Amino acid sequence: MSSENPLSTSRPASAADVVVTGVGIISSLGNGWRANADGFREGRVALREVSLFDTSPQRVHVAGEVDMPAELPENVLSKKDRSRIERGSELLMHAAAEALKSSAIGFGATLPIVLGTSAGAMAHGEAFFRKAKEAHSKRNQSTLAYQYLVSSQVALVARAFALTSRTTIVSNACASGANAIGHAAQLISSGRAERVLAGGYDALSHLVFAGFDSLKALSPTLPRPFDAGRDGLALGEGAALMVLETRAHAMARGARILALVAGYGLATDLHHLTQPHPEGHAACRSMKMACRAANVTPGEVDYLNSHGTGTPLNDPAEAAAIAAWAGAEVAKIRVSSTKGNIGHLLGGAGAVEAVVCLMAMRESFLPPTAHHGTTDSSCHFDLITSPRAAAVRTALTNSFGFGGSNATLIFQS
Amino acid sequence: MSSRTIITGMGAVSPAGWGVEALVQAVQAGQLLPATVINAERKLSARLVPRPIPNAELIRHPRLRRASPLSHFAASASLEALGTKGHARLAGGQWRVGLIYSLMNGCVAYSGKFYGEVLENPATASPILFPETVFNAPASHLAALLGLDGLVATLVGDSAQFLASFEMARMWLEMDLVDACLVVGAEEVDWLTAAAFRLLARGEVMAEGAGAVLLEKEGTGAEVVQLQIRPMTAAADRAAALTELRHVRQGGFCVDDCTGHVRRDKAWRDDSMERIQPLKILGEGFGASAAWQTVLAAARLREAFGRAGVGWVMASGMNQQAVLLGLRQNRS
Repeated sequence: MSSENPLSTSRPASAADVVVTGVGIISSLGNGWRANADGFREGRVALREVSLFDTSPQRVHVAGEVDMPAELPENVLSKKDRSRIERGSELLMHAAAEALKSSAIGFGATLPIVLGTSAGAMAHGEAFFRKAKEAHSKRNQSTLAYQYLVSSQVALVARAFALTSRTTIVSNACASGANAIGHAAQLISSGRAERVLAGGYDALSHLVFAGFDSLKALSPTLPRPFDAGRDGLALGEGAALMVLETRAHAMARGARILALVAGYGLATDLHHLTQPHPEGHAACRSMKMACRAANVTPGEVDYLNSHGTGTPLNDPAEAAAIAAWAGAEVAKIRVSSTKGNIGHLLGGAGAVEAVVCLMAMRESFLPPTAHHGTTDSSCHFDLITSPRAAAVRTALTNSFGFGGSNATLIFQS
Repeated sequence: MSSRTIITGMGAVSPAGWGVEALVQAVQAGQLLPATVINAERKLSARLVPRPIPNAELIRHPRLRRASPLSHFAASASLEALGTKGHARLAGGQWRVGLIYSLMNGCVAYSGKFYGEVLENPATASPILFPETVFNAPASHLAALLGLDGLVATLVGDSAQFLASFEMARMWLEMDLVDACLVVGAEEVDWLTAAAFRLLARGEVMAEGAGAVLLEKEGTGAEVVQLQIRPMTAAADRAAALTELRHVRQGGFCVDDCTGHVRRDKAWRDDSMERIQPLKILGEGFGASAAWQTVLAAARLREAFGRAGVGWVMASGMNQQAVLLGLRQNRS
């Protein structure tokens, strides 16, 4: 081998358009595109008392818990694998099945996977901890330890659909899902892959729920993004996956093109581990980077799905970032947050909200922000508070996370 | 657009000590490092990084005061990789350095502690502890320490993830999104992880630490001449993936991930290439293992002034990937 052979992976010379040819989604609004699109269009709220663990000692008891379908989607998992599947993997499997089917990709495909998650298989970790701490029991412990690994979750999904897959797992907190889609798009545009299954997921877990409650970040009333009286977020769970591929590859196989992944931006906020800079500098840089990549101006963005958690600190920081990014055009920017409807899906949020953008584009509507009363004085944009029909050609979604991870995706029809 | 990737700086923290030199000397000496009992009741032991931290300034940084050891290891290794020249360039403010932080277990120590508090009484669980349990907390601390406000990613994977992360770094460099990229692999020992590891790899010893490399398109150092990633979706695929990658190597030497465990190392039985086996000395460092291997290969190439041929680094994780990295010393 010589140094003239730098990489074994083949690489076309030019960058390529990256398009979305398949989408799968599951949230507390339901399983699949139809249930979710209808729910988001109407502004339906799907939050309820958590049944997965005991919240009685907590301040807050509500989240966007998914009514898990009774059956797994068609898969080729062994009986042993099926018996070990946990909630996060189950969510992933439902979203993956829909994404693959809508992209007309069958079992056995060669398809790299890029996923974002924040909590992974936390429920397995919690179970391992409880047994190790309390009983010193080793029964079933090796299985729990193995299945707790995030790589095990992703491997299980690959096995479920017999995919030959290189896998990448991004864990940039609540920006993970958006980062995963952005990274997948870069893999394709740089010629490293022809198509990729990408997205994000997270299941509700006791540790994370208690963690957000300990930070007093959970709303004891209702999550009201961008409302002057907002008092916190609701957690949620779910998954969304997309099949991304080069336009040429999609056209050659006759795949339906749902949207173009036009831009991806990311930036890091160094202000604090959990709090954004009040001026939203990094968020603004992330949006600008995505716009440069997409070659669009803020005024050309027809819909902005915000990170919009409903916490006292996040919303004004994002509002400041949007104002700085949009400049004189800020009043025209149509913004909503869908976290009041289904909760904050953490590692899944960026991917689910990217799919919300696609729904807005494909079905010509702007999803309203739930529970809205009085708009916060920091908001100078057009906050969507009731269902609205609109043609959406270009949509932008923001995702910000602990650790200062900021990501922006832009889609175009 | 240049597609070259060169390791222009490296750093390490390992059970052998703080710094690349300590790592190299321990592996050259070939003596098993001692394991420390970390939980007598559960009869758990591991190879720990020697304390205290030599660079006391490091833990005075506001972000690192409460951070777990994982963050301290990564910070020390990264500062070493950047070197004085790197610091000066960073201080200049015009150098766009990306950060890719690879790990497998993350801040398990804080996660266990926080969850223990939750089980006891969620109302009094520490709000300070919880954010430190998040996978990307160490990357965030490191970014804050170094002032990296651009591209930062935390990649969670098996023990080959550090090598696989080179692909993202190469892509960022090729797309001109960064001028340089720090790739870091780090892990910390905790009784909970050690208990899990004992169940999954009986007879092996867990270790902690970090490794970091600075990648650039130009400069003097070990240049990446091969990067191959083979997917695995089950532990059973491991031997086949390793065997396939072994046959890609030609000439030079190999830094492998053999731990001395007969079953795990069986894919290497008939390998005739000169091999360096650091994990037999250091223990299994999960996210840090492949980083140590890479640093050792680059250090060996540097010492040999280009006469060592290609330095191969091979790592195979539990159920995600096997990766082969080929390095060759360049002179400019």
